[in-house]
Amino acid sequence: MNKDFKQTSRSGSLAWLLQRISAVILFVLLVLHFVTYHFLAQGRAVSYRWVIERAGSWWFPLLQFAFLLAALYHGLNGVWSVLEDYTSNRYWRLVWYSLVVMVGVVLLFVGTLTIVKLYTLKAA
Amino acid sequence: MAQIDIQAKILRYQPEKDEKPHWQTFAIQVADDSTILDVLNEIHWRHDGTLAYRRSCRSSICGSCAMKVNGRNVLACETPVHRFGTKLKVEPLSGFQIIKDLVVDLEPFFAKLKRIKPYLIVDKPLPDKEFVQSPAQLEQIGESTLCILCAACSAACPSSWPNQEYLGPAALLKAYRFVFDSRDDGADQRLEIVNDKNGVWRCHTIFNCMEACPKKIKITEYLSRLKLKVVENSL
Amino acid sequence: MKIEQARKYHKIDAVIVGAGLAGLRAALEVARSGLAAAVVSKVYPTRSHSGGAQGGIAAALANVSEDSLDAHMFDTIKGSDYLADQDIVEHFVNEAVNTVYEFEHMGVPFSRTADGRINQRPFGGHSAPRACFAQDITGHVLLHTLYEQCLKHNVLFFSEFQVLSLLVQNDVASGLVAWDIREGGLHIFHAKTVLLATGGYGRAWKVTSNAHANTGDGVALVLEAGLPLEDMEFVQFHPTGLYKHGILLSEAARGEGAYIINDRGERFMKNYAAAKMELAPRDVVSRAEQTEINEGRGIGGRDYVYLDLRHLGREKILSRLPQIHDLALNYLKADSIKEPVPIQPTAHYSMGGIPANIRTEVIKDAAGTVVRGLYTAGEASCLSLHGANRLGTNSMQDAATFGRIAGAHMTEFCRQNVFADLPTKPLDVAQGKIDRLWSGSGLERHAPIREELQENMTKHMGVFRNQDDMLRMLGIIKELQERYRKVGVDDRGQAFNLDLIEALELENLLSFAEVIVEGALARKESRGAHFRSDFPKRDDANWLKHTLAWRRDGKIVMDYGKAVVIYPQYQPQERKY
Repeated sequence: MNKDFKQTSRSGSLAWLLQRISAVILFVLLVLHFVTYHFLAQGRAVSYRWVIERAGSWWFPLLQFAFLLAALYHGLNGVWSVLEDYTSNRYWRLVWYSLVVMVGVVLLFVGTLTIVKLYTLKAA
Repeated sequence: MAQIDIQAKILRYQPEKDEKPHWQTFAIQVADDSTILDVLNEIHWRHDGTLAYRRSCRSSICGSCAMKVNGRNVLACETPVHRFGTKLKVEPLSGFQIIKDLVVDLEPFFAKLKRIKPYLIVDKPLPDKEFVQSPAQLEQIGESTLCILCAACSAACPSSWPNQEYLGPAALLKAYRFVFDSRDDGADQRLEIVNDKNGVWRCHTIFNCMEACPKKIKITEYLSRLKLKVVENSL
Repeated sequence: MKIEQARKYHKIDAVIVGAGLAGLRAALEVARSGLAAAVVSKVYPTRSHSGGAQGGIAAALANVSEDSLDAHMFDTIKGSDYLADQDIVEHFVNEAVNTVYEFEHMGVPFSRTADGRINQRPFGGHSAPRACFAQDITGHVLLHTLYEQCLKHNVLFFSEFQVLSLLVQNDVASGLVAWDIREGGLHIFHAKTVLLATGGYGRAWKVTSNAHANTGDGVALVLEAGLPLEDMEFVQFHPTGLYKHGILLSEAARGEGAYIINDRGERFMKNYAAAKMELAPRDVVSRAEQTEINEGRGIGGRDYVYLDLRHLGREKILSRLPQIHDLALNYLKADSIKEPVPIQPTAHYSMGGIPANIRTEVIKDAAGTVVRGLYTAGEASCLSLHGANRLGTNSMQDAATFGRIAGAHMTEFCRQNVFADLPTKPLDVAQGKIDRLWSGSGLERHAPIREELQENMTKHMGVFRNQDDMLRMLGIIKELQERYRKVGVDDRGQAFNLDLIEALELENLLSFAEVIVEGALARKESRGAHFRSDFPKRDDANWLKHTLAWRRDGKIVMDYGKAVVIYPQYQPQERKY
């Protein structure tokens, strides 16, 4: 194999495919978001109680969680692929990759917490 | 035909003298319908014989004279001076090592091409006459066979600049050309090679290659089709 | 600077000089047999000027209408004005069909008929649509396909090497010496067989369709080695060169139906070749054009006429002739869909070259004595397939077919023979050339000398020739050769020294240009592309024979002992179209 082209162990095809799938999911969720947040609210006085009730329904946290996962994957994978383009050093790649994963884990934790908190809020 | 005055600023590098590349400006007169190659010839033949550049066919088919003029990758032979006005800035293609002046080292470029098995692979028995290929099947690859391997695309690709291991648009376009040839049986082998982070996945659809291509090949579009094919094949 | 010894020594079975269709096809043939084949070329293989060929490759496939090998053979012989050797033509047409199918099996993207077979178009001098084509980039796709196949079969490439001397002694070739353009330094290539496939010599003219690289290096090397050249006076002028630039606009345009018109808007070919009109052979059309221009019917009385594609329509132009459209637009700002394109005859193809037999072995005399291990194919060679005038699309077929034949014979030779000894001082000639330029007085520069040669060749050695012009030209060449001795180069560097290469090329141009003029002066008749206003008739009684020319003691010496091979069924007739 010539030195100008090294094949890596992971091809990147899955990442590419997931990036596109997550983009489609994000688009669908965005539409749902607009429908549930804005269109359903039309002509109705938006009250604290209505918001909390909606947050407490079974579909709401599922929607939010899917949103969180798709957005995190899509965004961080994008950032990672930019970083990867400009980092050829194996050590720095590992550093950047760890950082991206860590940011992902932290944001996932914080996001999940928020969704759970919203779900468990009781209407006063 | 009128003569015009030109200021040609050229990035010079003489390996035996210079530590690093530097700019040199030539003030010369050329005919107003001159090409960039005419300007270089004028300098080389009448002002400074040490100027080095590649050229051959001067009819945009051999691919020798790809270089950067006022920030754009062009073929010097087909590019009229008036496209840029009277102030020219001429430099070698980016992303390659400079051998001398405007001449860059294309060995890595051709080595990458070789990597993707750039030849028709046929497992089936050969017919007595030609393979039957419909005009529609030919249409799939027609435009990609126009590639003259001038390297303007690879030199314009931001994904290539920081990563010397990326196969680059020219080699990947050649992979497309064979994978989508109705006569070829080597798609699996080639797709396995390009299915790599330094292969087709390093392409982030930046479109620079398409903009740089002197043959106006829709490279990015073909690379996207190649990506889909890889995914289809691995599912 | 003096280089005491070769930077590198290579020992390779078959060394092929030139990476065009002929060179690559030969290399492929040798490499497929398992022997080592190296291609030494002054440019990267895909930069070779075979890629500039546009219109098609001739073979009687009969895919779109009736055709036969006989017809192809007769057309070629008639096109050659009966100077072609008919055994060569026969061999050629017999192999041609196979050559095209083989190309197709290698992956050449030929344009197709509706039912998926190779499409064919009409071409000048061919009696049937015989040109197999890929749009108007046929040479480009053939060249790239061959390069790809060579990569597959691990042909060794020495790209950007300028060959400076042939190693031939006692009629045996043992290799060559080449200058490494990229790094500098001389390399010795020790070989059992050497193929010269260095292409044409159109760069001796100012208005030419040829690439900067087409300086007839192989032809000049042979002359320098004390071997003869054949029929050098026959140089084809292509009728549709882009005005001023000389860049080729393929005959495919006329094959698809384009007209050539003069200042009055007339399709003047009706006065010269009423039956074939624009699709008469190139020598006929170029003469017609030049006559119109000389008699004041050029556009606005100037030195060009028009190629008119407008009636073909936008769709046909863009799908069949996209390159021609782009070239006219880029270089002359002429949109061929809407306006006619200015054209003039342009020096295009060298029918003459290095004499060889039907096995492509280089011969050293009229008796056909072979130089062992030395072969030639393609435009550099003179077998003679094209005689006094080549038909369009026969050149790519010639290069590919005889490239393959050369490869096969070289393989056979390599199997049966050992490496011949190198001369005792193999570097001397090459070293001498470099040293001379590096120590030259520099009172002269190479560029002005070359420009003077080219301008005068276009002026005096064009479509029409006469004794006075040619004598004047001979004097100019002698004077330029004298001035060349004082040439020095600005660039004393080793790496990519373009200055040095151009100076070396000029030496070659000045060398064989003299043979062209001497040959043309001696041949007191008009035949094919060689037309003399002072001898306007073909003279079979005295001149149905080949020219062999040597340089001996600084003089060009001629021999006409090599007879034309003529079959009883193809006796010379009056040539009308």
